[in-house]
Amino acid sequence: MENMIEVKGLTKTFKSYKKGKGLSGTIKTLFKREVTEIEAVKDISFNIRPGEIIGYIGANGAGKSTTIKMMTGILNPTSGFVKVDGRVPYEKRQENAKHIGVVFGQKTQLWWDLPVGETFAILKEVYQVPDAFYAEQMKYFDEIFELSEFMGQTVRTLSLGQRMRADLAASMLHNPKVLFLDEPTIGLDVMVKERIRKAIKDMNKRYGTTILLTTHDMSDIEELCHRIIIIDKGQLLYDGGIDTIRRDFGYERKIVFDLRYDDAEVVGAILQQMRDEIQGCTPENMTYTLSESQLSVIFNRNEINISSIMNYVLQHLNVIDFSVKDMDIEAIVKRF
Amino acid sequence: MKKLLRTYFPFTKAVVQGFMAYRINFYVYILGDLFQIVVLLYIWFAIFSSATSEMIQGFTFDQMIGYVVISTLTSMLIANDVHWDISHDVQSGNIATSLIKPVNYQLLKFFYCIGNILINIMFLFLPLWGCYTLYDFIANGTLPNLLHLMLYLFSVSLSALILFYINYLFGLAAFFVEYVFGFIFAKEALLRLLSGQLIPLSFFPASIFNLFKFLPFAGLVYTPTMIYLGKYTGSDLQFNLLIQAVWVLLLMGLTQFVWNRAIKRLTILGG
Repeated sequence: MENMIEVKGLTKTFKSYKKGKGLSGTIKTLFKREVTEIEAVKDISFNIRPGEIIGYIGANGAGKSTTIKMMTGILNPTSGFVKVDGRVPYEKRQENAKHIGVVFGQKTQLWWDLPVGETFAILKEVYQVPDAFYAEQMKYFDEIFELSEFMGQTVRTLSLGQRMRADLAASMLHNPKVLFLDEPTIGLDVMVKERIRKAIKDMNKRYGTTILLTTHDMSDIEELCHRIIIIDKGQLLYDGGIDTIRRDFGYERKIVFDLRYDDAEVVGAILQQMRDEIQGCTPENMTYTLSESQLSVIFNRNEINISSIMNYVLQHLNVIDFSVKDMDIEAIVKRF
Repeated sequence: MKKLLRTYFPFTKAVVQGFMAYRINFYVYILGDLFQIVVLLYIWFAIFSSATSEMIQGFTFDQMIGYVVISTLTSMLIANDVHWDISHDVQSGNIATSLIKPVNYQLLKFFYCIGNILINIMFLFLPLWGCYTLYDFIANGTLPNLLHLMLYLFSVSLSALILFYINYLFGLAAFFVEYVFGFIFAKEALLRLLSGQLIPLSFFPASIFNLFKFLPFAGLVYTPTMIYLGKYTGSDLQFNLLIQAVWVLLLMGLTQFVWNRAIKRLTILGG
């Protein structure tokens, strides 16, 4: 099998009915409904080979989750098709479900009122995991997720980090060929994120699991993925290596300074001179904004030396604090 | 079959275990039903004491006590939360977490329903039925007829299936309308009347009663209760059991049809 996942011309249109305003509007809609069609996914095609870790990224509402729902067999596409491991998921949902694992970061697939251990016992039966393999997996999960810490607790008493670890372990229990992770690190602290990334990497190495991951966290992508697919407003924008993206779009840096000053006009005048003072500075490769004593400077680090900007600002202005920021995914998407 | 049980029975267990966490809610809710028994008994007491004859519509007062108790117990026994569970699944988008598993959604809910019924049997039906039987024995010296009891169990199993399918269908309504609560409350009120839980269906005018006999709702409470009380025998018994069985099959087909349409128009809410 050449491709683990094949997506071709995938399109999903949602019908939504407009609701009138107020009571009279609601009554009107009882008799006549205005239909608006929302194209959540438009003509997307890509292939994923076995063992790849793909970052599937885009802004909120770009259509990431909708695509994942079609790949997991929950939604039917309006046109086009998806094949996962040679199966069409929405036609053979149950059969497909045996071979995939899914984590929706915003929802848990564990049973709210049951202890974590019971949940795994149920999943063992649902996926018909053999006893020996089950024992082996549980030992492995305990190593990478430290599950035994909270194995006896009911799911509703878990912290978000613990719940996510349990959810990930649950999705991997039956050793799926493909793992769909929809924002697996949402709302987690750095330590937990790190552990989850390590586990994902480990799983990929150990079993050659194909992983499709959506996230808003650039460091997830940088650490895990070799290839990214960017979609925006339902359309495919980019499909390729992470290095290309970093080279083409990762050159921007943003420095945010907290300033103390009395007269904003004086500061404005100083800033206006900045472009003349710093070498190679043009309105295209350096922009700044000043608002409420916060100055943010966005510049191209390939053309302007960061130290010259730092020097100028620190020399001429009273700086309380500053921070340097990477480009985030939203900014990259905007650039296309 | 064994594989099926191994896969789905854990979901039944999960319902019972979940119930243990919210036991108090259950009993508070049930208090309403118990209160209804008391009110009905008082009403019938008033009616019978002002009546000119010993029997009303073929019921003596003692038989009416039996009807009120057994019909309420029957409705308690077969009750399930499948409709609430499905509509919650759909509206919260949690249905996605069931659909990503290699399980049949209807079977999942069926085993969920079995969990509900096991809880009903253990925590409501058996204790209350025991109390009533003891009372009946002490007051009237009668013991339950074993044959009637067996036939009742058979009939009530069909009732449970009918209610499962009805509730499943009302749950699926959540796919088509956004606000399903109104539907469910209306259904609940209507069922009380049409199933014979409030008063025996034979108290309705003959033409209406003859219509009700053919609806699926009579098979929920009225038929098993009449069987328990020994009021259905011979061809009556066969006819009413047949009606129940036919409705089970019809509703089974209907749910499959509605499900196929519902799943096509599924839009997962909340991302």
